[in-house]
Amino acid sequence: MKKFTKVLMAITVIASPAFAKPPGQKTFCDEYPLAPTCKSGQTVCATCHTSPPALNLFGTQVSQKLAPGGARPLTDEAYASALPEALRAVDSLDADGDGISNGDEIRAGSDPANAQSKPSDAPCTASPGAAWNLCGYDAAYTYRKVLLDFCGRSANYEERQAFAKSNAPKELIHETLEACLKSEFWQGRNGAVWNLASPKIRPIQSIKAGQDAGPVPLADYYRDYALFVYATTGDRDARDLLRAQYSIVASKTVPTTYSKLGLSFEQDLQENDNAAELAQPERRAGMISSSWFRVINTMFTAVPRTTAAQAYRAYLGLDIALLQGLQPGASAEPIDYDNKGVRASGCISCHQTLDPLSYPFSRYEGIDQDEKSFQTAETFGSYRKDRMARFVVSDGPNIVNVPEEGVLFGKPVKNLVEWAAVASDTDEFAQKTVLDFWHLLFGVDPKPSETEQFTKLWKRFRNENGYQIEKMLSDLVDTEAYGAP
Amino acid sequence: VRPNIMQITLFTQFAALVLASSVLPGCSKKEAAPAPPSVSTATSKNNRLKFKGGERLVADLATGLSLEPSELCKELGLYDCKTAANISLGGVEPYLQTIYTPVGERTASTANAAERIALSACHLRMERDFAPAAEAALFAELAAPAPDLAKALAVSKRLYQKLLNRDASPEEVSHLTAFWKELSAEKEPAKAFATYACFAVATTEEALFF
Repeated sequence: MKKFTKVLMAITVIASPAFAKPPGQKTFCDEYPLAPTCKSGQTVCATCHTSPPALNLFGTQVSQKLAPGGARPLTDEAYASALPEALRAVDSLDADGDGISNGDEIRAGSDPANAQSKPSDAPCTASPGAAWNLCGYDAAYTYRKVLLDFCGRSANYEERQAFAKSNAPKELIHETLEACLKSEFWQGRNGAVWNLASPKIRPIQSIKAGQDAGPVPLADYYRDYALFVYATTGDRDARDLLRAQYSIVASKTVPTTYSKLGLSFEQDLQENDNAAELAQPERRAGMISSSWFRVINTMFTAVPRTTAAQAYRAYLGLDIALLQGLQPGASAEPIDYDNKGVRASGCISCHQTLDPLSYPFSRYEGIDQDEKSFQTAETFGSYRKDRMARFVVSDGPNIVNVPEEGVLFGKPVKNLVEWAAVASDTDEFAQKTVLDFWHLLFGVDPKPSETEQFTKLWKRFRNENGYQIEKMLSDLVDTEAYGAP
Repeated sequence: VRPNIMQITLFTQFAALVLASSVLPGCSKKEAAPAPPSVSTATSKNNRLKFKGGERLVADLATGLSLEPSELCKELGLYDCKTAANISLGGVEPYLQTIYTPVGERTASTANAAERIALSACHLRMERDFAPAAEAALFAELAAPAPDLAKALAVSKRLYQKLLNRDASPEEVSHLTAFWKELSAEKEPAKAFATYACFAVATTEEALFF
C-alpha cells in the first residue's frame, strides 16, 4: 500500500474512537433545537472538541456517558442512537465548573467547556467612567477598529475629536471603511487580503517561476494571489475565485493595482514561459486550476486526491483529514483505479468522497514526468484529455478508466469547470469565504452567541450582497460582534 | 486569561510610572515604590483583544513621533527591527518559511520586540528634539532651557495625544509628573523623562492592543 493511503488510514484508525462522527452535529441540534449554536441545523466541532479529535471538557463528559461499556469504535448508527441519552445525562452537570449547567449554557449560547464563557442574558450594567459603552455596539470603538483593521493605523487625535462631534457616526464609519478598503494595507501586494490567500496557495519560493523566481522555477503563484485579491475586492463576485477563466496580474509599483492580463493564451505562453497560466482559458476554474495549484498539489500523481482535498478544504472549509464533508457517493466508489488500496476498511469511508471529488482534476497536469513533454511548454501543466494513459506503467492498466466526471456534494459533475461552478454556489463556499474574513478580523471562530450574526452575514453575502466581499464587510462592521468592546 | 479592554485602559494609569521606573538606569532606590493604585475593572462584552502587530505598531509610532517608519529602529544599526522580528510581531512569511498565518497568541519574544522598537523610536525622537537648533516635534518644552514641572506636564499631555490619540486623564498626568519629580536627581532629567515617558506611554496595553 502506498504511503499516502497508509497515512490516511492511520489518521482514520487512530482518530475513530473519539472523532465527531458525521451524525453528531445534527443529533446534537435535534436535542437542542433552539440553541444559538444550532441556527444552521448543525452545531460546530468546537462544541465538543478542542482540536478534533481531542475532546474539550464538555465533550469528555458526553463521551463518558456515551453507551458506557459498549464496544468501541461505535458505528455511526450506535453513536447516533446513544448520543441523545448521553447529552441528557450531562445536561444538568457543569463541565467547566463555572456554576452554570451544561444545558443552561448551551441553550443560552455560551460555551459549556469554557469557564470564562457564561450566559450573557444578565442585564449589562453600565460602568461609570468607562471609555466605551460596554453593554453593546459602540460607534467610537468601532471607528477606531475600522481604521486599524482596514487601514492599518489608529485614528489620530484630530480624527477622534472630529468623530466625537459627528452627528452621523455610522455614516462616518462606513465612509472610513470604504476608503480603507482601497488602502495598500488592505488590498496591496503582501497586504491583509493578499496574505489571506497564503494558506490556500501555499507558496514555495524555491520553485517559483516569473518575477522573484526561485532556483527551480516550475510555476508562478503571484497570479494566484492577484486573482484572490481581485475577486475579493471592489464590486467583484467572489465566486470568481473558482470560476475565473482569465488571469490577473498585480502591478509591481505601489499602490498595487490589479488588471486582467492583456495577452492571449498563446502570447502568454510565448512571453512568460512557465510563469504563464498553462491551462487553456475554457478549461480554467479560477484558483483551483491554476498552474501553481496543480504543480504544488498534483505534482506527479495520476489521481490528484491532494489537489481535490486542498480545494475542498481551502474554498469549502471541509477538511477530509478531519472527517469533514464526507458524502458517501455511489456504492461502487472508490474504485481504486490506481491500486492504492483505498477500499481497505480504514480508508473507504474517506475515499468514497475523496476519489470522485478528485476525478475532475485528473486531466490537468501537475509536474510532467515525461521528459519530452516536459520540454514543451504547451503541454507542461496544461489540460490533457488523454492524460491518464501515461500512468499505466506506474499505476497499472486500470488507470486509463479514471473518469473525468466526478461527484461533489452528491451531485454528478462533468469536469472541473462544472465542479467549480457547483462548489461556488453552495452554502459551504459562502460560509468559508465569510469565515476567512471573520478570522482575519477577529482572530477566532464566531462564538456560539454570535452564530446568528455569522449566519446572517453569509446568507446576505450569498443573496442580497451578490457575493461581494466589500458589501459583506460593510454588514460585518455593523454587527455587535464587531462593534461591542 | 486575556485582559479586557477596560482593564487595559485603567492599567495605563499606572503602567507609565511602573515601566519607566523599571527601565531607567540610575533611578533612585531610596524611596519605597508607591503602592499600585486600586484598579476597578469593568467587564467587556466580547473580551476579544488583538495585538496590533508590527505593521500597525510601526505606523502608529511613526505618526505619533513624526518619524519615518523605516528609521524607527535598526538592529545593529543596519536591519529594520520590524522585519527582523516579523514573526514575533504577528507577521507572516509564506514564501520562504511557509508561515502562512500569524502564530496566534503573542510569542515569548513579542513584548521584547515591541518594546525594542518603541524604545528606539522614543530615543531617536528625543535625540532629534534635543539637537542644537532643532525644530522639536514632541519635546520642545523640555529641550528648551530650564525645563521644569510645568513643561513636563505639557509634554505628558502631548504624549497621550500623539501616542494614544486622546487626552490624558488627570490620574495619568499625575503619574507622569510624579515620574518627573523622581528624575530630579538625574544628570539630564529632561532627556531621560522624554525618552522613558514616551516609552511608557507607547508600550501601554492600550497602545499595543485593539
